[in-house]
Amino acid sequence: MFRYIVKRILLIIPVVLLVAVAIFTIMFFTPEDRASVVLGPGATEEQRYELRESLGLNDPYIVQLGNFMYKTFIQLDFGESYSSGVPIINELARRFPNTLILAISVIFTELIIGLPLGILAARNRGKIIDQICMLIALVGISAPAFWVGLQLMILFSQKLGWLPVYGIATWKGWILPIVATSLRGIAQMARQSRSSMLEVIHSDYITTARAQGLKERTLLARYALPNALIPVVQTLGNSFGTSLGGTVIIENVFSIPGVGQYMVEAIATRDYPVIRSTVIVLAIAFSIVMLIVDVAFAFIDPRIKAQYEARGKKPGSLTRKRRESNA
Amino acid sequence: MLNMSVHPDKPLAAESKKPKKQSNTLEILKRLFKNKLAVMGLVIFIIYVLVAILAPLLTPYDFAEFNPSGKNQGPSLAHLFGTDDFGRDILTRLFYGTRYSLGLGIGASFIGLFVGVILGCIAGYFGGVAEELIMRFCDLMQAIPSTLLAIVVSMVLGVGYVNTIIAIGIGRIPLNCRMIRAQFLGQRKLEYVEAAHATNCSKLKLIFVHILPNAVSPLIVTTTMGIGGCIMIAAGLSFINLGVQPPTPEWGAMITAGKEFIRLYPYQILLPGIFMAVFVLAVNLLGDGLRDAMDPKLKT
Amino acid sequence: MNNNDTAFLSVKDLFVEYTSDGQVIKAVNGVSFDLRRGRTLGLVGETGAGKTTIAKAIMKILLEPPAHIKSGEIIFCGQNLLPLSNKEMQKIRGSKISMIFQDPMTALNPTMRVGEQIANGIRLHGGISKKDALEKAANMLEMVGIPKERSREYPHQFSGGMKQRVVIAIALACNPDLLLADEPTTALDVTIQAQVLMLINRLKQELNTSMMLITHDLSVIATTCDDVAVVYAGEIVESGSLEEIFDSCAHPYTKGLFDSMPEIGSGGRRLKPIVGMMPDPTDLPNGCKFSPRCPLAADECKTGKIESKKISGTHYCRCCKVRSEQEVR
Repeated sequence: MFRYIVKRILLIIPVVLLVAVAIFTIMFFTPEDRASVVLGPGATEEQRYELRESLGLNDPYIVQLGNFMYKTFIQLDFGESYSSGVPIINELARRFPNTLILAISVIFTELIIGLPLGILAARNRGKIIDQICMLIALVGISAPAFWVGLQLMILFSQKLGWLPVYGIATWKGWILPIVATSLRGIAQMARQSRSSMLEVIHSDYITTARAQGLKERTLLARYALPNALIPVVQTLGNSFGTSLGGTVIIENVFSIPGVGQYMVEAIATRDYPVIRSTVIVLAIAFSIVMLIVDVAFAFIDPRIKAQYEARGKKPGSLTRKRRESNA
Repeated sequence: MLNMSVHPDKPLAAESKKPKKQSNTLEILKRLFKNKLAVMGLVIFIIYVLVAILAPLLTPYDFAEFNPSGKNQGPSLAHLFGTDDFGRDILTRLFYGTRYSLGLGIGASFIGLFVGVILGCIAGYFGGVAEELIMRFCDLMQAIPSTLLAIVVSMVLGVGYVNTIIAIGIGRIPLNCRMIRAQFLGQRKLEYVEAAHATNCSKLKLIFVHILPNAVSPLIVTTTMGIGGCIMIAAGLSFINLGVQPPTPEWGAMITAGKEFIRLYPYQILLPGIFMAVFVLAVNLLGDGLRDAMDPKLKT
Repeated sequence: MNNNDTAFLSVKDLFVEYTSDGQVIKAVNGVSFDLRRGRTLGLVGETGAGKTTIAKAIMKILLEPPAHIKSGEIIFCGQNLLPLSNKEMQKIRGSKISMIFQDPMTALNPTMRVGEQIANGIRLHGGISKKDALEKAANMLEMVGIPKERSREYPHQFSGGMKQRVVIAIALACNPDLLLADEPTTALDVTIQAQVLMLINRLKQELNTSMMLITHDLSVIATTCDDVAVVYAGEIVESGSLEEIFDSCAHPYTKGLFDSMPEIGSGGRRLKPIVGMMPDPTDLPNGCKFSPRCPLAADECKTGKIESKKISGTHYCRCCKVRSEQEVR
C-alpha cells in the first residue's frame, strides 16, 4: 500500500512537467508581441528588438522551452512580472495560502452539506423532501458562481451590511466567497450521492444483509454508505477542478488576494509570465488533489487496492477508466 | 405490458447486467413526455429558441442604439427590465442575446462533440499508437481544469465571439472522445462484433451500424447539458475580460457590463443573470429527463 | 397437505401483489403449504411463477412498495409472522429463518471482509464480542470448506462457487431452524453445482435445519428434497412427497415438466416443450391458470375456482380432470 502511494506520487512528476510544457506551448503561440506589452505603445522597433533579445524571446521554441523548464523547476524561479518586475515566486508564495484556504473550505463545505443532503433525498425517495432537495440541487448547478456571489454580496453586504463587501480582513470576509463557490459543488455532491445511494440500496448484498436480520441503521452505515462513497469521492475530485476555475473568478469578485486574482490582473495587463505561472500552479494543485482522490479510492474500495498492490499496475490507467465511466 | 424491473422472480441485479436494448425512438419520447420536469425544460428551451428567432418581432427597441437620455432606468412599464448605461433596453438585448448565447452554447458543445467523436473513433478503431497518443492528449487536457484551459486558449485565440466558442469547445473534446472510445472498448469484446466479422461485415459498417448507435444516448445527454455548461463558462470568461466582449449582447457580457453598477443599479446584473439561469436550468432538466428516458433502468 | 402435527412452517392462502406504473401484478394467488420439521420442501416451477416472492414473503423482505402482501397467514413455530413489526422480524431473520439467494457474484458486500460479513450476524443474534464472533465466523468458513485464514479476504478474491459457500456460511452461522434457498446453484457451473448441493445437504443434516429449496430444475429436486410443491402462475398446482410426485405425478403441468426434460440414452429424441407461455400476471385467465396451455382443457376448466384435491397420502393436485381419492373409491 505504501509502495503504491510512493509510486503514485512519483508518477505525478511527469504529469506536472507535461502540463507545464503544454501550457508553455499553448501560450507560446499568443499573437501579441510581448515587448510591446512591456514597453508600451511609444517604443521604437529597435527598443522592442533589444528587449526581445534580452528576454530571450527571439530564440527558437526548444531553447525557450528548455530555459523555461530549467528556470521554473530546477531554479524555482518563475521569472518576473512584466508590469511590476516583482519576482513572481514571491507573489505566488504570498497569495497561494489564501487560494488554498478557499479551495479546501469549499471542498469541506461541499462534503458536509452535499453528502447528507443527497443521503436524505435517497432515503426519502419520491417524497416531497426528495423533490425539494433535487430541485435546489438543479438550481445550484444552473447559476454561475460569480453571479450568485454578486447577488449575495448585494444582499448581505450592501443591503444588510452583515458581511464585508470585499477582502478578507476578518473571518467574515471568507463566508460569501466560500458559499458562492461551493454552491455548485454542493448541488453536484447531493445529486451524485443520492443516485449512488439509491443504486447501492437496491444491491443484492443489502438484501443478503437484511436477511441476516441486521438493523436498518447498520445496513445504511456499514453496507450501503462505504459502497456509495466510491463515485462520490470521484465527484468531489472533479468538483475541485471546477471550483478551481471558479476561485479564479470569485477572488476577483470579492477581492481576495489569492492566485486567481493575480491571474486576472495579469490577463488584463497581458502579463504573460504571471499568467503562465499562475495557470501552472493551479494545474499542479489540481493534479495533486486528483492524486489524493486516487489514493482515497484505494482506501475505500479494496478491489482497487488489491489491483495496485498485486499487479503493480500503472494507476493512471484506472484513473482513465474512472474518467471514462464518469464521462 | 409487463414491467420487468419488478418481475418477482428475477433478481434486480441481473437486470442491470443485460446489454442496453435499442429502444424505439417513440418509446423514448413517450417516457420523456411522462416526466413533467423534463417537459417543462423542453418547453422553456423551445421558448428561448423562438425568442432567438423572433427577436425583432417581440420588441420595438433596437438592441444597439444608444439612447443617452434614457440611461440606467430601473424596470418600468416601458422598459420591463430597465435600461443599461447606454440607454438600451435590457430585455431587448437579452432577447437578441439569446441568439448569441444559444449559438455559443450549441456551437461549443457541438465542436466538442464532432471533434471528440472523430478522435474517439480513430482511437477506438485503430488502437495501438494512435489510441495511446490520443488518450494521452485527452489525459493532459483533462489535467487542466476546464475554466483554466478555456482561459489559456482564449489568450492564444484572442477574445471575441467565435474565438470563445472555439476555446470552450476545445475543452469539451476529451469528454466526448473518451465516451466514444469507451464504446469501442466495450463493444470490441462483445460477441456480436465477432459474429459480424465472421460474416465479413465491412469495418466501416461495424462502426456506423453497431457501435455509434449505442453511444448515441449518453452523447445526447452530455451534449444537451453541455450547452448550459458552456454558456456558464463563457459568462465567467467575459467577467474577467476574456470571452465575448461588449457591445455584443451575449448574456455573459451583459452581466459583466452590469458589474460596474452593482452599487447603484443592481438590477442590471440580477435580471440578465436570472434570464440566463432559467435557460441553463431548463437545459439541465431536459438533459436529466433525456437520460432517464433513454435508460429507464438507471432511473433513480 | 394439511398435516398440522409436525408442520413448523405453515403458509395459508397467501396473496402477494406488485403495483407498478398503475398495473397490478398478481404474483402469488392463494398459496398454501406446510413444511414439516427436518424435511426439505422443493418449490419447483418456471421463472416468474412466484417462487421467490413466496420465499421473500416468509422472510418479510419484500420491498413494500411495489410489493404488497394482500392477505394470508405465515405460521412459523406457532406464530403468525405477517403481523409482526420489522423490529420483531429482525430477531427472527438470520437466527431462526435464513435465506440464500441466486446470484453469488453480487450477494456479498464488496468492501467488507467475508469473515466480518458472517460475524455481523453472529454478533447481532448471539450478543457476543466482536472477537468471538470473528472466531466463530472463521469456524463457519471451515465448515463450508474454505480455509480459516481466508476470512480476512474480500469477496472479489473468491470464485463464484466459493462466494456461494460464503453466502451459505452467512445463512447458517446462527444455526437457523429454517433455510430458504432460492435457486442456490442456478448461477453456477454444473460441477460446482453438485459440490454446493452436497454441501447444503451435509450441513442440513449436521445442523438439523429444515429447508425450502426453490428451483426450476427437477434434477436438483430429485437429489435434495423430501417433499415437492409445483408452482404455476402464483398457485400451487400439485404437491406431495418426492416419491408421489416423481412416480405418479398427476397435474398436466407437472407431467409437461417431466416430459420436457432431456433424457440420457433417449437416442436423440426431439425435446417436448410445453406449448405456450406462462400467463401475464397482470391479466390472469379465469378458472385454471394453466388451461390455455393444457392438452386436457375443457369448458369446466375455464371458470370458477379450481380446488386442490387430495389424491393419496400427502399428494394433492389442483386440476378438474384428476380424480380425487374420494372419487376413485
